[in-house]
Order: sequence, then C-alpha cells, then structure tokens
Amino acid sequence: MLARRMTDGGDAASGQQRPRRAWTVLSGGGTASDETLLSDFLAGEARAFGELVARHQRLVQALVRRYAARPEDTADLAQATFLRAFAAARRSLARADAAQPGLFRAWLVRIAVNVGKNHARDVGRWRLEDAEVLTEVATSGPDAPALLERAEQRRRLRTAVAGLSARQRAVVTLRVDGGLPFKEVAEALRMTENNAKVHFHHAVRRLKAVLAGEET
Amino acid sequence: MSAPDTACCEEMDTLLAERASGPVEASAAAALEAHLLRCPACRAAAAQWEALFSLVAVPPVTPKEEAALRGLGERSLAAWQRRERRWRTARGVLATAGLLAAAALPLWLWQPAPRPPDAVATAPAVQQVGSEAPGWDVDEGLDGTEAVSAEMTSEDTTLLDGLALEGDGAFALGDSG
Repeated sequence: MLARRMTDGGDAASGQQRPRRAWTVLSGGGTASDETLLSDFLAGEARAFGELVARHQRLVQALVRRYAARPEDTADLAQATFLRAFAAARRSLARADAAQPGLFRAWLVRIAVNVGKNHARDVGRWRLEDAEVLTEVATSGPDAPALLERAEQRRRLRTAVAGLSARQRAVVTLRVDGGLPFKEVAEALRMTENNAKVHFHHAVRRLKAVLAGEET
Repeated sequence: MSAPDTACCEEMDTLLAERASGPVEASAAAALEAHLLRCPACRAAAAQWEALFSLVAVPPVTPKEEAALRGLGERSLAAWQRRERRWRTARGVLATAGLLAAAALPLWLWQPAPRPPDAVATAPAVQQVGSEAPGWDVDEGLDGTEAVSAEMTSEDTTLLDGLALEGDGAFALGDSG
C-alpha cells in the first residue's frame, strides 16, 4: 500500500502552490485501487494522476480510435476523456458510492465513448481507413484483389456497425475495441449483463447477415 | 471469405461469437475449449466469427498513433492544472464583482431627501466643518453644493427685479433694463 509523509510542494489537483501532504510509493502504485489513487490525486498528489492515466490509457485509446480520423485526434480525445473523468470524479467524490470499486473505470469507458461520438459528430467523419487501404493496395502487387475484397468487406461492416441501434453499437464497440467482459460493458452502459448479451447477439446476427450479403 | 457457418452446434454458436469478440466467463470458456477440440464444425465456425470481428475491429495501432500518445499523462495533468487556474481566476473575479456590487447596493438604494428651504441657513456651518476634514469626499460634495446655494441666494434680488407679478397671480418676464 501507500505510506504517506508530509512534504512541501504544489497542489496537483488545483495547480496551486501550497504545502500539502505527499506519499511515497513503497510497493508500487499498481497495487492501489483506482479509487484510492483518485482520492490521493484530489488531495494533491500529482503522481496519482500519472498512475491512473498510465493504467487506463490503452483502454481509452482503443475506445476512441474508432472515432478519430488522425493519430493526433486519438491523443486529444484520450486527454479529453481523462480530464472529464477526473472532473466527474471530483464532483462525485463526496457521495458515499463514489468509492465503489470499478466506478472510475466505468466512468472512463462511458466518457470515452461519448467523447468519441461527439467528436465524430462534430467533424462529420469516422476513421479515414480508405486512404490507408489504397496505399496498402498500391504496394501489394499480386495480393491487391484480395486486399480490395477485404477492404470492401470492412467498409460494409463498418457501415453496418454505424447503422446498429445506439445500444447495440455501444455494446459491440466496447466488446471489440475495448475487449471488455460483458460485466464491464453492462456497468459502463448501465444495463444488466444479460441485457448487454442480448444486444450483442442481435447486433452480431445482423453483421453476420451483412457479411453474407443477405443484408446491406 | 464467406460468412460464419451456422452448421455448428446450435447451442455453441452464441458462445463462439462471444469468444471471438472478447473474454468469456472462465467456466463457459473451459467447456467451450473442450468442445472445440472434438468438433471440427465448431472450429470452422469459430474461425469465421474471428474473421468477422477482425473486420469489425479498427486496424492495429500505428507507430504514429503510439508516438502521439506518448507523454499523455504529463500533458493531461498540465491541461488539468491550467484549467484549474482559469477556474480559480474566474471565481476570484466573480467574487470581487459580487463584493463590489454588495458594497455599492446601499449607496444605490439611498435617495437623499429634498433639501428643506432652511438648509441654506445652516450650510455655512457644515461648510466650516468640512474644511477641517480634508480628503473626505462627502465634505467636498457639500462644499460645492453650498457654494451654489450661496450664489443663488445672492442672485435672488436680481431675478426678482426682472419678474413682475401680475394681477391674476401669473409670473411674466419684464424688462430689467
């Protein structure tokens, strides 16, 4: 766990210079829960912020990538996700249930999807995969027809995913992009695990039909 | 590539789709893996589900994306602290404006009563007190007011000279020259 000692330094959460408590990580920040780190950050420990970001940045990146057209967009969306999650955490920390394990991660997942969707809506496009595919095809020689067919299947499926209901799409993207178990998908989307599975199976049946050419 | 085959064991198809898209519960996973070892149709179906989800998934992370994500923690913390400073400044400005408004409110609400006619007589005494307390704004105001009052008093005779009271009680401007 974390042993704390008093030192002087800046207040990380508020950006203010004033004496504060700080802690020394004895057994590694990796053992502390998200909620403990969050509480430490809001009490003034900047390293807790870095630890939380490092712990979840892969997940957040995976979730927002679908909506980002450029690599810089992914980083910006990931940053926006963390800032919103910390702001939401500070507002809610006073509540008794804010220390509930897994709550911060569920916030992150939900916020990441919303940040990504808002971004996609604002810029009016999703990932620019076509340009990447064309570059790949142009340099692939004899494999070009197979690559083009795969690109066409990907395009059809991407269109089909975009055409799913909001809940089905959210379940599928959290599952496929985030690699989340259904329990976490359900927590992030505030539904039961069984309900998440039902949405998932309706969605993948439809995607399967699209791929088979039974649906467009 | 063709769509996933539905000829596999019906009860397994749902689990195969879950397995291809992400983690499944440990108990279900063990039974499923055991089934896959002895069922070629389900193995083929599993491969087809995996192919479908590989198409649904976004392409692998590029080195450019990796580079853009480097230093995310430091950048996010710096952005958080900038935002906090802005909020603190905005809160300070609002608080100051509120205090000023609260301080100004009594002055705005206070309406001075109309000066009674005998105020002119008492004015010189007030003016005298004011002259002993330099720097007090209210005194300076009183000082100016009394000077005007004194002038009006001295002009009363001249003005009255120019006015003639007619018989019906109406005032008319006469020739003072």
